[in-house]
Amino acid sequence: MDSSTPTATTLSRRGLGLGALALAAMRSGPAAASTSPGKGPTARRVIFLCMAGGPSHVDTFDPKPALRRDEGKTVGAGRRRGRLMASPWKHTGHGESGIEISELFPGVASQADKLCLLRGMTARVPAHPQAFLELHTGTSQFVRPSVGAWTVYGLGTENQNLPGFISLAPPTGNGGGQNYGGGFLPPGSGGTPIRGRGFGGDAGSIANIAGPHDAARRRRRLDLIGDLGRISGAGDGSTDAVIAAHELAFRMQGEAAEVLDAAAEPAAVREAYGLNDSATRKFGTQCLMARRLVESGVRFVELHHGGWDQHNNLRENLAKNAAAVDGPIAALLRDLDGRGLLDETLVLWGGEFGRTPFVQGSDGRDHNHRGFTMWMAGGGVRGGHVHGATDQHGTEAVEGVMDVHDLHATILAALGLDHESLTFNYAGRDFRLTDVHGNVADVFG
Amino acid sequence: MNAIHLRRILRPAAVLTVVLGTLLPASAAETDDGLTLEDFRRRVSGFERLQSDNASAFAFNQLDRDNDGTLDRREQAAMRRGLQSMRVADEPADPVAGPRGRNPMRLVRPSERGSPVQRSEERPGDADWWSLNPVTDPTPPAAGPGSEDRDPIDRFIDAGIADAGLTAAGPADRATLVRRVHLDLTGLPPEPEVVLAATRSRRSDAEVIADVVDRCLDSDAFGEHWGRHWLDLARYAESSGKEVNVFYPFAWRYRDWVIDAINDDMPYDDFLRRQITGDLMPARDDAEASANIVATGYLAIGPKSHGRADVRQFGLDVADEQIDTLTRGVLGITVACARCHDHPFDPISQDDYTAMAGVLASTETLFGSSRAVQNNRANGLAELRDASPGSSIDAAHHAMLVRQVEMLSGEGAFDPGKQIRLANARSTLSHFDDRRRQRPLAMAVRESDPVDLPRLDRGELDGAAGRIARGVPMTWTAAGNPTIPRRESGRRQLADWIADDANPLTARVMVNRVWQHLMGVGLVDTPDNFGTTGSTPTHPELLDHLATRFMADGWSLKTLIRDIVATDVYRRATTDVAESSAVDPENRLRWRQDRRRLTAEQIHDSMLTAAGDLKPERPVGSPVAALGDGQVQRLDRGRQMIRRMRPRGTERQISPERLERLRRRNPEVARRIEARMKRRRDRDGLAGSTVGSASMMGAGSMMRSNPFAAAVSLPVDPRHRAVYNPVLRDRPDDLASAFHVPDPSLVTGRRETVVSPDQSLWLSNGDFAHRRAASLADELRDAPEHDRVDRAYLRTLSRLPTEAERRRVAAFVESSPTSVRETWIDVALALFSHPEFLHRG
Repeated sequence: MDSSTPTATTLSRRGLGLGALALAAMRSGPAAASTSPGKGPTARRVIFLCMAGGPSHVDTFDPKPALRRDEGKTVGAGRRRGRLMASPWKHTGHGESGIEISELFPGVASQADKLCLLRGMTARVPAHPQAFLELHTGTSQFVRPSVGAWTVYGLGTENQNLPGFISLAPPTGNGGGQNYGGGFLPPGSGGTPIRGRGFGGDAGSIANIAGPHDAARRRRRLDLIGDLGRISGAGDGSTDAVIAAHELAFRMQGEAAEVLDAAAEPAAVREAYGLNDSATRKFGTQCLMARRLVESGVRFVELHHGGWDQHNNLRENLAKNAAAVDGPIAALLRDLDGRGLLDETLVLWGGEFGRTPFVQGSDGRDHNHRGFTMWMAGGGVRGGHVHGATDQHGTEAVEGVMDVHDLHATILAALGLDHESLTFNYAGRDFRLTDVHGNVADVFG
Repeated sequence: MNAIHLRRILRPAAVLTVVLGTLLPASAAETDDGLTLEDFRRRVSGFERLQSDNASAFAFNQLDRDNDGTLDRREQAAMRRGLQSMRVADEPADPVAGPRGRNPMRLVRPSERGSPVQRSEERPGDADWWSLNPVTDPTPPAAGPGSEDRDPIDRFIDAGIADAGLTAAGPADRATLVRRVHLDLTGLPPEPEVVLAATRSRRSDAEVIADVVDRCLDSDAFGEHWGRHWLDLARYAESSGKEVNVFYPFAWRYRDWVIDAINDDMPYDDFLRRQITGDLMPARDDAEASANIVATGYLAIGPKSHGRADVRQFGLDVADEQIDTLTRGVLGITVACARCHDHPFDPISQDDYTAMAGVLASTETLFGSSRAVQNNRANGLAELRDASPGSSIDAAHHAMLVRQVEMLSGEGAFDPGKQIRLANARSTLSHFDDRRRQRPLAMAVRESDPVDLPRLDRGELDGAAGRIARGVPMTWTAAGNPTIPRRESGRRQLADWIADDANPLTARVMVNRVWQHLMGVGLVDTPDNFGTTGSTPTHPELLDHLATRFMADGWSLKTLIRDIVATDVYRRATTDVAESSAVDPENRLRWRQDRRRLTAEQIHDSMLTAAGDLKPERPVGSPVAALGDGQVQRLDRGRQMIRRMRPRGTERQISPERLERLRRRNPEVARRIEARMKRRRDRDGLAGSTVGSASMMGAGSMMRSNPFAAAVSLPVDPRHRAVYNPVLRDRPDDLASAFHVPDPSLVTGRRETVVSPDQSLWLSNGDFAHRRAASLADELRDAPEHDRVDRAYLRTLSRLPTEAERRRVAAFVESSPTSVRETWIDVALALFSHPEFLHRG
């Protein structure tokens, strides 16, 4: 078969057709994707607030009063031995649910009743490169598609003028492009990175989304291409496909520029997202972009904030990080809710692992993959809910324990996708995002 | 690796020979306490373990779990201990692999004594699968009267078409054929003169095309194009990928070797043998011996996890990756599926896998790189006695490295960042000779101290039992398992088995690949999977005929290509025949040629050719060579540096979005800024484009003048053929991203050629397209006015325009509000985006 000819298949690879294909394949399988009636998974899109470096859970979303009581005591054995350090920050209950959140996150805390905390998260290794890649693709051993790519493969994109998966300011280390790559999945599933000048109020750009010529000139040229193409290739499928792609690109250029233009937002919204404050401008811009992108039908948007690796200077740097993201995240949750988008948008917050309750040096904490916190909001997850727990000091997850496969299975479930049925045949066998693992956490409805 | 262990190492060491990681390889494996394997067993049920091809990976990863401690743990430990004296030794680094030591893979095996266990005779899967049966030599169907000398290929195809009652399309016209042959054989479009001469010639079609074919096969461009096909299978790249992603500054030698070997029409069996075992083959002279060593780079350039602390895990992973590449690329079968259990679908047992893994575990893979924080796995390179010199770095760059080493080694305080820079600078310096040319070193393999691997029950290290003698998969071993002498790895025997006329897969898989590249789709449309989960051939007899013929002709790629290109089935038009497409819309019976999108490289190179910008000579080495050792991430610093170095005020860069907005709001200011940007573009000539980022204006001159920038940027001359563009894993360049060039960590025998808007954006807005369009426009402007459209069509579409096309272009030119030059730039850009330009008909 000529893979470039048919207009329908070629273009639909980027659109709903592909998702429909994947869904059809799933439904014919033994364990078809079930859409349970009533309350339950309702997400159609995902926003992943990725905090690279391993944010300390005991100082943010998993308060441990026992740490204050046992401060200075040396506990544990072997490599898990250390001197306990209480959190320098106060934790208080918030909202009707009374979920306890650190004073570092007053904004997010004000949205407590929307949050579903996953306090039993675990990672496989306490090393950034592996854990970060595993968080995104489920493995650091093999080159595999990222969770965003699987999402687009499963559901297609809602807006054919924009990519289905966009990764904002992705880090280039820790696996780089693999973290948003499509691997063996069909082209168009992989993420489109948007890099900018540090997101300092300017949103950055999709590769080649703008050029030196204005729209009128490009339009004239496009008309010429269309006419010349039709003269020699009338009725030929591949000619139509190319011309259609050019037209789509032309529209995308208009639409993407608009969507990525933060200036188009009213001053009050820009203010709310923290665009007028140098401390919050970068991440605030990302958050605002994320809302504009999901609103325009982008399926999966990933945001990045790095530097959560507090081996030292915990007091200063963790506070600084929290201040940079707290306001923008609160604004995002509020904004999504206000626009009726939150129910169908799953928001996920967290990093590749957490940190030890033990002190490192005098003012730091080491990596801890045995227990940490991520949180979800929207998308049909239970708000004001805590799922899972670590032990009294926060060393190890003991209840509602989840690994990355469970997390991935749960994300897919929120989107109505069964992680065991969402497969792609490659190199002679069916692959899954969750390989042979994964249990959906009880966080819906 | 953990702090306690580090303390033990560091106490006596006042001065370490290399940074931090130095002592890891031998000792890391011993730090494993094994207890985490228990965790693994508890977590994964027996059934799941059987199901998962990741099970062993998972098990092995457990070893890293507690002793992983990459940067942070060791760094912290070292800091706590105030290791002021910890620094790199003063003697220069030596990039050449030292004498062979004890094979660390011995650690995998609990005991070296005892005789090997008998391999299980039971074969999983279907041992009678078509592709595993011997290749036959079927008699071609009888030809019709008057066409007795018709090529058997056509007779097999015709029979299929006749049986289905279909009608084949007629032959393509000459201009189409000339372009098709050029693009298929060399990856480049024909020059206008070639097209004109062919279309005006009075000789027969067959004669005219035969001439064109001969010239294409004889040109160096042939190897550059077909070499690229092979490089897709060899997952060629110039960095390690995975979590650390370090540069492989010597990988380009392998790329050049592939291109040369294909241009020399090296017999395919020989081509394979050298890549597996070139270092052990007899050679006429030093030059040939060196080339043979470079060929084994095939096994060395794969993706690797340089962060791995456990040397056994690393070694098994490297062997696994080599097996996967070799068996899928060459044999079209997934032996790597049998790492932890018998193959679920194909007749390959875990013992077969283990036997083959033993061969590779007895082979030392030399990949270089500098051992530094985060890179726990580094080793030496092979030294070549007679090889062409590599890229050189300029004096300023060299002096900067020397100075960097001087400054950093004088500093007492321990700082991991500085230690990394020092190790990399020192190691990079060692790559260059006193004339600052890259030394003749290569990524390669060599014999190691031979070991047999144990059968790893479920892939678990502590489930190791007995030992499986090194060998080859038994499934298709007609002559039984070869005997591997005790002191040899077995690579020789493995290569002999693969490159054997009796191996049913090697020739079949290759002729199918060649057929696919010429006809669009293979006779087996899953070119990397001839196993039971792959497709069956549409023309099994033709496939065997081609395989037999290929071997009989001495495994000559050029002969095979010449024969296929000479057939009627190759020369058919792409036109539709309604009655045939109604029955066989997918053209499985080959009643016509398929029109298909060009590859990224073909489009890139076609634009260069049309613009007259192509530099046909091969560049020396690769821009990656000049970067030396270090992490790919370093290129980000380059980007920042360029931003900082940009003089203030006038040179400020403006983002395309801003410019677009500015145009809407204040066209006059936008116009002035654009003019300024254009002046800079013109002044800088070729812009240094940095892989992974949009090309940066002004970067070219900056790179040339600033040695610091030279160490962190990747200046690419885009006028060379795309096959010479640097390839870094997980950092595709603009072209590769837009045209979906497959991930260079994966073995890819068939590229997707979908049409998508990111390609349109690249063609419409990209810097490369605009430069090429400007060159073509300048040439057209110099031509007589009445000749311009003809010339534009000949250069881009390799044919003359029709009257209707001439009129349409003329109308565009007349009504264009811009200058003459800008108008022709638009015409050039339009032709680059023309569906016909992007396809081969």
